[in-house]
Amino acid sequence: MKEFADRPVRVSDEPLALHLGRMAVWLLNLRLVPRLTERRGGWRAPLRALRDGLTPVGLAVLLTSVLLLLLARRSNPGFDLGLAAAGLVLIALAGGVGRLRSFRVQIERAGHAVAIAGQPCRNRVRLTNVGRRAAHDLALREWRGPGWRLAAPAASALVERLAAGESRTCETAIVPRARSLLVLPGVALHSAWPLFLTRLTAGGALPLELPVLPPPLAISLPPLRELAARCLKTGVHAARASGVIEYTHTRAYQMGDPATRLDHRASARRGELMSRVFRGGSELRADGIAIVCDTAVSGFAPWQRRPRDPAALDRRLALVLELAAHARAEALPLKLLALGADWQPMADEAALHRAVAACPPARDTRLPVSLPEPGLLYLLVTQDAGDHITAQLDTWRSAGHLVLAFRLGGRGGRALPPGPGNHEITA
Amino acid sequence: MRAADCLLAFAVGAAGTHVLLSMQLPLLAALFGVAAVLAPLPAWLGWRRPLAPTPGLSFIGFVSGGLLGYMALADWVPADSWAADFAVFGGLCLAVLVLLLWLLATRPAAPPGCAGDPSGDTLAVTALALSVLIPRRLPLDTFTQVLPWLAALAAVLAPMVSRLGAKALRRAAWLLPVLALLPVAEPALRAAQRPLLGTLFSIMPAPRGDTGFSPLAQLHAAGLLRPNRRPVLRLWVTGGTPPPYLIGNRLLTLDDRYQWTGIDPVGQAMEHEPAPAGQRYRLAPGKATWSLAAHSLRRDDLLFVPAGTQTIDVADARLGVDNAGVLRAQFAGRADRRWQAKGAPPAAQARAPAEALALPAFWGADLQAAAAALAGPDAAQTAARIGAELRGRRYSLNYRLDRQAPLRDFFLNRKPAHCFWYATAAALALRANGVPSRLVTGYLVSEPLGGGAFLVRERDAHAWAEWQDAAGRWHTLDATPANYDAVLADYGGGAVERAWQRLAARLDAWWQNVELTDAQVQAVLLAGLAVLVGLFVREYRRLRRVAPRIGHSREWQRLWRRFLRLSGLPERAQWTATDYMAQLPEGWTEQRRAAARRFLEIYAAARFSPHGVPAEAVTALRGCRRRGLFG
Repeated sequence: MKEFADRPVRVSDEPLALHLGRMAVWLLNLRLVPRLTERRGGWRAPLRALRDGLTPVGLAVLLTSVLLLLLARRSNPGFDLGLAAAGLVLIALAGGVGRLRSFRVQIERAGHAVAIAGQPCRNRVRLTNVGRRAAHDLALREWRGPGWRLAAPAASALVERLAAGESRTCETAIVPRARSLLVLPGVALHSAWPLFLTRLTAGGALPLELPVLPPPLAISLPPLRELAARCLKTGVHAARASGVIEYTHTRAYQMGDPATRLDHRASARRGELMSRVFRGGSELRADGIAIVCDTAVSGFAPWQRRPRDPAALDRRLALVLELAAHARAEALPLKLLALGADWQPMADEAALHRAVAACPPARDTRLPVSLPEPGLLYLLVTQDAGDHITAQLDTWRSAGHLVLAFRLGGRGGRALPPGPGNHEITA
Repeated sequence: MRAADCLLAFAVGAAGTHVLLSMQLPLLAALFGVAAVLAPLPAWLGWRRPLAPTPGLSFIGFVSGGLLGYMALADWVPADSWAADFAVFGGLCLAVLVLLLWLLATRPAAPPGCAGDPSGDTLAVTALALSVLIPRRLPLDTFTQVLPWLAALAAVLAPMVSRLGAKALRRAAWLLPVLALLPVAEPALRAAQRPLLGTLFSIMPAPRGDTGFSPLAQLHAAGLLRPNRRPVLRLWVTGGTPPPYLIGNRLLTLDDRYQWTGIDPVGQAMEHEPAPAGQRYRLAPGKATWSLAAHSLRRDDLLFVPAGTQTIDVADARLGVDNAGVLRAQFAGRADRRWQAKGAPPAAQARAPAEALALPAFWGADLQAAAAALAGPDAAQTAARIGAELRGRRYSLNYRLDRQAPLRDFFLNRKPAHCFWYATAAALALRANGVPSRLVTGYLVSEPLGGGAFLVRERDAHAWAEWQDAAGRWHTLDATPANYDAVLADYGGGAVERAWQRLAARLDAWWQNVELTDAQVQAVLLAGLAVLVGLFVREYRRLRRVAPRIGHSREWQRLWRRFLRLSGLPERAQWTATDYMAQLPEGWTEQRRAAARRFLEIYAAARFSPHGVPAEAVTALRGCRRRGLFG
């Protein structure tokens, strides 16, 4: 309720007084200080020039010297005007010499990974000195922006010398505030040569889309194949399964393979663990998984533009990522993802990260009406197993789909009915 | 010990010594210097260090320092030390010194080659500000002159040495041109200082105007004045209806330089007797018909009372009349400047002295003729005619009169001017008609705050005349034109400011009813200090509990980064240890894969446990490295 983006929505069938009351509360809580951004130009340009042009100690030297200049009058011998003169000459000299030795460095991003909310994220940047002279005392940082803060300056390295034509890869470190699809606007490069009092700053607009994922959950999941096998032995799946088990082939051992399926002869021949693969019965025959996640957040009223606790959905999405990683380790790639009612094909891991980072919270539970492919293992993630979810689960299972449901416990919500395919997870 | 740490210790030691010497505490200064130099020693010897100061702890330290300064610093330091006058600021400075020492002793050593050293920068910036902006002890000697220079030099060099190590020595040669330019730069700054300050003051909007009470004011031929909104008095009428004119002093003689002198004191010898609220000074006999209480917000000890005041009650302050003829009470240092006055309409007094009829040398025939034209059948009629004539003119704070004969220009040409000119003209016109008169300066109360309270601001400073009738009774004649109120009404402050003044008056009145002895005040302050100490201890203990957990997490993160660096595996933030196990490169030898799996299994099992980093993980990683499996 502190941001401009939180202003209440006018709900047409509610009284106007209620809306005005909400507006008043929002206005009282509104954060009046704008978030720090590094836009070029504007009225903040001189302030930014001061901030970019001086190190903290340099700024202190300048300000104390100016104050001393005002205080050190002849009638006030306690203050020494010589110190003010020394400080101002020092700043002028450092700034002038630094400007004379200006540098020309080409900056380009050298790849990135995903980021985790609240944890430092390092992005690699390649610096190439395209000038004729060496550049000294270089420090790199991301431009400031609203969705993240810069990591401590001690976390970034100082490039003492970058010779002409030399190229070096450095890192910038930021700490994203929350799960989102961040766009980092650019990179600033400071040179504190010669006295670490003044800085020469070069900026490069290098936009980078960075998916910020929720913090990982500290949970231990059993192998999905084992869970699926357990499910296949019971209920509607058991009735469908034939009793025949046929050997089909032998393949390399994968996490989750039962020890009884080890092919000792093949293992001895190949020098690595091999498993025998059977078809039929309780064996999972899926060649991939599809995940459905309930994105509803409780208490997300129609007049709110976003929920009070934006991180309420994050734990579920973190579980989605854990499940996808586990499945990948068991040779079950993620084929489809439904964050809400619509299915999205997942071509690669980056698509999954982007989808999770950009997933908006919903007011009501919405699940896909049908499950598109019969040959997939379906995983459902929820926090509140309400009637709508249990009914939908029953519909899918009675249609012959193998669906494993996971509910994150510990933060309220109704539990899943006991059953072989339903699992309560406590993080 | 690193050179940067030594430099920072020296900078802090020199700055602290400078501050304590300027407070005239030489023994404490020597102790601080030694402590600062020795502060990094425990870290260097590898002893267990206390927690570093956090913003919360620092804030509690600041507040405690300010409170301690308020309570006790004025008694500790010598009377001529600046800390005796600015005790709270002195306490804050001492708190800063303690925090600097604490930070110096506990700061984590920044690894060389890093772009930033936040704690080092904090130390350098604070030491620099203290050494430069705290005045030196007077009279100056070589040590007190050199100390701020040394502190500032060490603070400037420390960040460079922290980042570059030994290479900083060569860079420090850039300081030599500064020394060479100094003999030129200082006189240049000295020459530029005066115009710079002038320009600065001229471009800055004046928050305060330039009107106000002045005991011996001079009439100027031209002026451009802005009323000053600063509150100077709060009044509460506690009985009757006192006159709205508060008298500062009464002046008798106007000299040729248009300076009013010749003080007519309120009372030469004031009798005093004990009263419930302190001392009661008696100015005149008689039975009081009105009473008022006053709280002065001025920085001096001047008292203002209405005409006809008979008694003044002040708490433990000696009352007298100063050289300018203004009542002055010798209040103790931080005591509230309050008094209570009681009085009645002025009684008849002895005949006025001859000065009350004297006219200045510049009072020529034309002025005399103009004044005589206003004469009435008796003194009261004359005063009324003079008042009516002058009040029909125009009041202005922006005026320009003839420099050679300003009073003539003002009186004969009906030029606009401010109240001081009208009061002067009224007093002299009365004398020209044989009526004894005097000029009175003080305040005119005009801003009610409700509930019998009034606010007096500097804009209410006023001058008027008093004349004596045949019976010896003095009367007030305010000859200032009627548009005076309209001009000053624009300088009454905004609605918020007025609301604040109303609230402040109510709080002030309420506080007057709260009677606290010195012991009770000390007890309240000590209780506040105890609360702060309690908060400090609680927060420190909480941090001590949390710190190991944070430490374990950091240790795991360090271990994980080391594993990735040694093994050459990619850093994938979203991968769990299981992912890494499943995606070990195909080209690795079985031994290498087994070693990596071993570490990853330990990591997966123990990463989120509440205990520290298990020795097995460290051993596994070390074993991998020793056997050359990684890297």
